[in-house]
Amino acid sequence: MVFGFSIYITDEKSKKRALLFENEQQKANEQVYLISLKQQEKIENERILERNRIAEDLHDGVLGRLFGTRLGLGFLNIEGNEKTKNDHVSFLNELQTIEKEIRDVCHKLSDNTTSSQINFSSIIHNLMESKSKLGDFTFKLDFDPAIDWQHINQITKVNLFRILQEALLNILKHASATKVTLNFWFHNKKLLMEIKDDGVSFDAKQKRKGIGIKNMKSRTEKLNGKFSIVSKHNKGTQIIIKIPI
Amino acid sequence: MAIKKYPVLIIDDHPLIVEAYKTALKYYTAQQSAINFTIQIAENCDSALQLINGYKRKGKEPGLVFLDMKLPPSKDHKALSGEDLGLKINKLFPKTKIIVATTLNDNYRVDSILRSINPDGFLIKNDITPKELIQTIHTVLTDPPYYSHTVLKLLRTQIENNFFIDAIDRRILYELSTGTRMKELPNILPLSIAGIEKRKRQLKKIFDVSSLEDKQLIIVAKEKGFI
Repeated sequence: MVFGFSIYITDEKSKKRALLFENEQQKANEQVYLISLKQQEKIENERILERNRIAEDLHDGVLGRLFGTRLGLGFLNIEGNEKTKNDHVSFLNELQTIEKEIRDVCHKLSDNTTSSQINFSSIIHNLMESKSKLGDFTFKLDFDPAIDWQHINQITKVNLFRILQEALLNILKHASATKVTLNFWFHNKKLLMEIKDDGVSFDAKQKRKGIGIKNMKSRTEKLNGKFSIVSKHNKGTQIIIKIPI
Repeated sequence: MAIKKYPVLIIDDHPLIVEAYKTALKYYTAQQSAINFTIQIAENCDSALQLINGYKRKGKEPGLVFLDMKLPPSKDHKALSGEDLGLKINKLFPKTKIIVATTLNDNYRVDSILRSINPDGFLIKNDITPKELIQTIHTVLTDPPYYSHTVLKLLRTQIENNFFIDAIDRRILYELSTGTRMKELPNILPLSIAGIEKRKRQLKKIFDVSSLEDKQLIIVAKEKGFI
């Protein structure tokens, strides 16, 4: 009896240790993710600065000098036969075309609208894209423009990302869905994330919940949020995460 | 016939361009023997301010100013660009004719220069040829304004799209197009985030953009010549 009790204790201890280990592992993972996210942002910002610098140099330096040269050449009194004069004119026109091309390049270089949006939404987009290929489903992604992702703290973003990963894993493993919808919106000072699929449903009330769902729930609760999952026969699964901001 | 003396001020930091203006003025004098230009040159905001103040002290005024927009700023940072100089010239010498010549050609900047300086000549440098430059001088001196092709094109698209868009709307569009983040905007504009969002929604309605992303709005605003 004493012997059995001691086995029970060691068993509990090792379970605890495993849990602790898992926890540590998860924290480490999150940190790596955070660092890589920051790094990515930094690199992107540097790239934008550099592109703008090149555009400015081209625009203010090269373009101005080219223009000055063309005008100077244009004012030159070219002596010679008809052909020489015609060539002179066509070279001048060519120079002007080159100026226009450089100008267009400058505009493209200094157009920051697309590149500056490397951030949470683009990471989410990439994730959806890669998983949709893997699971052969189409996806719809909608971000409420009222959400300022820059202002939402990294921990929240990391957890949302992980929850989404978990949900997508479930969809890939069990749902055989053809369509997945992901929505982010803002309502009553709460950030909401909805993941919906049209795949095979499962009984949400079954006693033994998978570790995946447990994880999603505990992550949501860590953020003081609410987690709900609805799965109806033939109607797929809907997960809603509500987090106070 | 009396020869009319015309003091000319050339403000540009590219020596080649300064030379081109001088040549153009020379050609013009050859055509119009009744005019005699005296030319002074400034390559940055400081030397330009010096010359401008010199005119003022002597109670004189320049007849014609060639003005670049992108210039080395003055040391005290009171004049950051040609635009500041243009405003000062307008204020001190309302009769002086200004020809703005710039390589800038984004619609937002062109529009704001038209409104702030209202120059008698407005040239986008890469539009013009030597012939056109001489024509510009003639038109500005005799019957202004003269606008080069890009400026005219902008004015046309704006008339075609006669929306009600004010200076703040334009600024929002401009800042978004240069990649300014939403959270930085309240520091630049006298509006809160919510106020800016409201205007953005309104702009999307005006431009008939259904997408929630700003990118589409910027693309359409660019097409219509607002940025």
